[in-house]
Amino acid sequence: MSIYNQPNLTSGIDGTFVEIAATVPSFIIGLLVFVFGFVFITGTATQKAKTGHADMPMWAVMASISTLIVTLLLSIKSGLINIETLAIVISITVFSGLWLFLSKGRGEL
Amino acid sequence: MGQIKFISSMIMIGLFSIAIVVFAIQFGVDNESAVLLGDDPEYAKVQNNLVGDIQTFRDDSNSSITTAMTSTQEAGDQSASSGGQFKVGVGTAISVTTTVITLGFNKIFGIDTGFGIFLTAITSLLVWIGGLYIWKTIRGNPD
Repeated sequence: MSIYNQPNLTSGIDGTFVEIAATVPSFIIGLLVFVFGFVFITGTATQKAKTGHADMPMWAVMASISTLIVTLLLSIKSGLINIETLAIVISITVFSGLWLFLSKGRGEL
Repeated sequence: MGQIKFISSMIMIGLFSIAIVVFAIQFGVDNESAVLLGDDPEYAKVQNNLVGDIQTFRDDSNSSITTAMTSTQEAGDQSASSGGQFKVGVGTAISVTTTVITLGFNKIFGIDTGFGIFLTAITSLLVWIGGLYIWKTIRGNPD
């Protein structure tokens, strides 16, 4: 017996995502967290390795905007995300900007 | 971070927030998205409030700089006893930021949450920093 019903893979990639999201509601949230974490962690780690300093507020903004773009694309089709998720992603993006603009010293940015 | 940097940061936060919210709303409209941010009335209201605050900031700045440029001082006069021209922008700039923080906080943690004290603390800190900068500009370094 299978753990879950496999999605219909012949209905297009968007249809597959909708079926997966219906079966596992946290899938889309996990995808967004992965996008944010991937950009943020790889960005800060690479910058720190190359320059010895990681500009975390800037990478938070980069990761937030990347996540926002993916979220907006997912919002085109129904069944993938809800408006609460979109609102939270927007809020995190705005907070990242707030962190960036308040973190810089005189003469920076 | 000086007063110019502080006010600039506040205004940039407001413009950044307006840009992100307007982009997200317009993206949904242009692409006929199933999930529209514009369906959330709070975002449209906050966007209008932010635009209004920025316009107030513009009007206050223009009025203040016109007053400062047309004023004169005689020898021996006390300069800037009220400091009115230095206060312009601080109120609206902090209002822009607290509007943004309140919206984001309510969307993430919900309204009437026990975490509300953090919102109060952040807002109070921004107001306190703004007040200190006004004092510093009029009277010199407060340290």
